Amino acid sequence: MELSTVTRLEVFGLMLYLSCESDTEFWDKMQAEWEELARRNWLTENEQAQIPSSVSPHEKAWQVLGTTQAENENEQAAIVSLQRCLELHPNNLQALMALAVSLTNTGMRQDACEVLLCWLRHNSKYNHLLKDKSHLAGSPGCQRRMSRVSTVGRYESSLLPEVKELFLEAAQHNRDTDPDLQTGLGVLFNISAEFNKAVEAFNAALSVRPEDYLLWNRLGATLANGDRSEEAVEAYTRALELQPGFIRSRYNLGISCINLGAHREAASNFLTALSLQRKSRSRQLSHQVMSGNIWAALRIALSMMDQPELFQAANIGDLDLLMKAFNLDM
Amino acid sequence: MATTSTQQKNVEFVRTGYGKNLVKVLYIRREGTHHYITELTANVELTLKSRKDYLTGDNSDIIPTDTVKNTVHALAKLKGVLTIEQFAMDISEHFLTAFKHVTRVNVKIEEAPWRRLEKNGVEHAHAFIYSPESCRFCEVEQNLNESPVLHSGVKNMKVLKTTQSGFEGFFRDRFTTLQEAKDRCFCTSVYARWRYNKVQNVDFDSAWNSVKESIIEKFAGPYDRGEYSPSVQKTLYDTQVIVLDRVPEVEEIEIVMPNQHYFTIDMTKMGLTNNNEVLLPLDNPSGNITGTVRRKPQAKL
Repeated sequence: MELSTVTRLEVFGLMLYLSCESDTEFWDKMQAEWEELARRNWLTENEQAQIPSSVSPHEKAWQVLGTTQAENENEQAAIVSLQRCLELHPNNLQALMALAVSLTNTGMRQDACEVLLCWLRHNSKYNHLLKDKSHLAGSPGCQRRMSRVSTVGRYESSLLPEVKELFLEAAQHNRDTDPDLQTGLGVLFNISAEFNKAVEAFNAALSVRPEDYLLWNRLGATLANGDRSEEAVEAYTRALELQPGFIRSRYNLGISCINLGAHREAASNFLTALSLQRKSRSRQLSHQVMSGNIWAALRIALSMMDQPELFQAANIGDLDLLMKAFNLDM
Repeated sequence: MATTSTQQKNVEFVRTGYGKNLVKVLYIRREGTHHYITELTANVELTLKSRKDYLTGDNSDIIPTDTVKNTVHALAKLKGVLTIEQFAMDISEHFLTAFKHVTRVNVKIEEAPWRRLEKNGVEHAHAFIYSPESCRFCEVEQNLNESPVLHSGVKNMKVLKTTQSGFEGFFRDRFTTLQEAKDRCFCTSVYARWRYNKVQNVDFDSAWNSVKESIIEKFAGPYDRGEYSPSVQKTLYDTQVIVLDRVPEVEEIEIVMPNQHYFTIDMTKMGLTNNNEVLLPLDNPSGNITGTVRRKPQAKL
């Protein structure tokens, strides 16, 4: 089921990508696809609740494509998709949060802070906090920022302290825990390397949504980046129980295995992730769907195992040989 | 004398490649009266699917190196040259897609260090001066149906400082005669080469400038007092760490810093006391310090 979701959405995305003009017949088909996905319960309840007919399917599709690509450990593609979504609908909160996460993962600290600021601004629950902060309220430039080229050379994230303050203020004003706000806080604490505080934030979010596998992975990644590898492994395991096809979490699990010295397990996890990615490749897509960073991590794990023939196989991308060597071929 | 098949039977290929080196081009972009230039030198190497050219002298697959040169010229016209990195990727992309029998392309480009003339903050519209304080280069390696692997670099950037450098506490054995130093000149010609983890939507100019500035910043330290360097190794590593921190697109960086020695000339035999004022630049031998670091794989939120 998990594999099919991946295939489905990648093809779905490809159809979208290829159609530049919207065409009634095409959108009827897209709507039918959407209803089919909902019928088969492939959308979370959260997403189902969020497809009012007023929302353009175009924008929603880019959002789902973006989040799916991120889940499948395809960060750059995810960023592009989410930016497309936000071009169409700059106040899509889910896309904004997902983009902030992806930007954080790729080290774009200042950009991530700006996106989180946009999230606050477009969130009716919290935008009142920005009323007195005219220097932050800024332009309707959220949209412009989303699609610009990465700005290298801005060494400090000057926005970070203020955005963190705002999120903390928002959290204090809440009676009930808002898991999305807590996610934003968790992301900010990751940026500032205050990992223990980030862990608290994600735990708070999980108390409201204990079945959210994305949150379990975020918790795990935070623990891992904060050098709490054993606990990270527990969190990833929980994420993978909830969503066995969750490629990103499996990649993260592999990273933690490396950090814990379990190189064989690490390699095994990376191979599983790569094989899932390969299975999802639609016949229409000719480009690579396997992530460079998963291959790179696999090579690291293999290099520590002192088995040069396996390392060589990884260098030439021979997935089948490696799957066999690890008894993963089905 | 042609080789016999018996002799060929004992031989197998390791690697093949051919192309044109030192293809030079000056590209001018005119925005009204304000002109922009990029002058570059390109080496292009192709690897073909078949080895029949090597084996039997069958040339039917060979794209002549003269054609390779023409192609570089034509692509400069058709695609323009905004950055040498993008141009290198355009060349690579062309050879892998315009032909069915090219399996690998390698493009190395060096950029000529023209600097626009400027006086009192006013830029000249179209005049430049050759300023070889550093050389910018890049390399693209791409296999068919794969993404390009892109490296950029800076080389021949020679810097010197007269103090805030020392070398002590090193290993001594019976062949060691070097005296410890608390205060010495430090001169090096920096070579740095880094690999990008993404190639789309990257501001290559900005990235290159960030790396160059970081190297200079770490070497020189604050302008009033500098920063002490206990060894070339430490300065080299510190530079790499800040580059990786500041430029998220850089995945791995190699830096080579030769240690070009300056020795205080002993003038005692002339009855003079030389207080480290007159030094002898010695270009050989020179120390050579290297290091390569990469980003540690991070867990993804």
